[in-house]
Amino acid sequence: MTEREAAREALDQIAAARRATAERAASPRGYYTMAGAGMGVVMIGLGSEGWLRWVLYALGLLTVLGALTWYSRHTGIVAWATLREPGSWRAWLMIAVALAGLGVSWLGLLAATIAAVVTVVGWSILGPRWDADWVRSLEEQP
Amino acid sequence: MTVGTFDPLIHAPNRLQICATLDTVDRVEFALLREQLGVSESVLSKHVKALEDAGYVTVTKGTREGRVRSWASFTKQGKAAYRAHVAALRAIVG
Repeated sequence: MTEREAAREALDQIAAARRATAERAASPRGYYTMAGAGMGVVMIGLGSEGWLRWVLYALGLLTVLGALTWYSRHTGIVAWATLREPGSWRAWLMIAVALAGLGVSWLGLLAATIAAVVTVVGWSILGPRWDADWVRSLEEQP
Repeated sequence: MTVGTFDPLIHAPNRLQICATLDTVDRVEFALLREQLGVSESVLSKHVKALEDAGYVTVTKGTREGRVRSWASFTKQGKAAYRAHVAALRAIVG
């Protein structure tokens, strides 16, 4: 085998490893719904009063943390997207939805509940599509 | 154009695959690396240790369900060495 052939084979091995890892990095079904639900509970907490507010904050944050833990246990991977990948506009839109939701939740319980529902539905729709674009971007060697 | 630096330590097939995996994501559990490489725990540990000794990889451990789980990630030096190695391979291929 020539040096050039050996180098080509090594690059093929690298491409195969990246593909295998990228396939594995896809989030489990329901991951974004769970994370969105956690955010939604925090929003409802913002619209609530008294001790219930703090219980909902804790519950929401624990749910988001639970989703992150579920991901790393399911995949065996910890990965942070840079939000500069193709298709990351969906991630930015998810962040915008969450920030807007957190903002309006201060108006009261009704506004917070609507914001929570919009966040759960929005994240459930946008999340898996962004995930698919992100997984594809992982396959590409920088 | 980046010519890169060929690194014999990284070039060994199993270590090359470990590095390619670590370059794709931030942190990887040993169980996943073992599965992808199709090697035993001791063989994997040997290769990761070589990368760790070179300062290319850091290993962290955590307990889950009563079992110790190990995770590997690239150091800044490791990522740079790997990227330089890939650039060298590309330069050879032309």
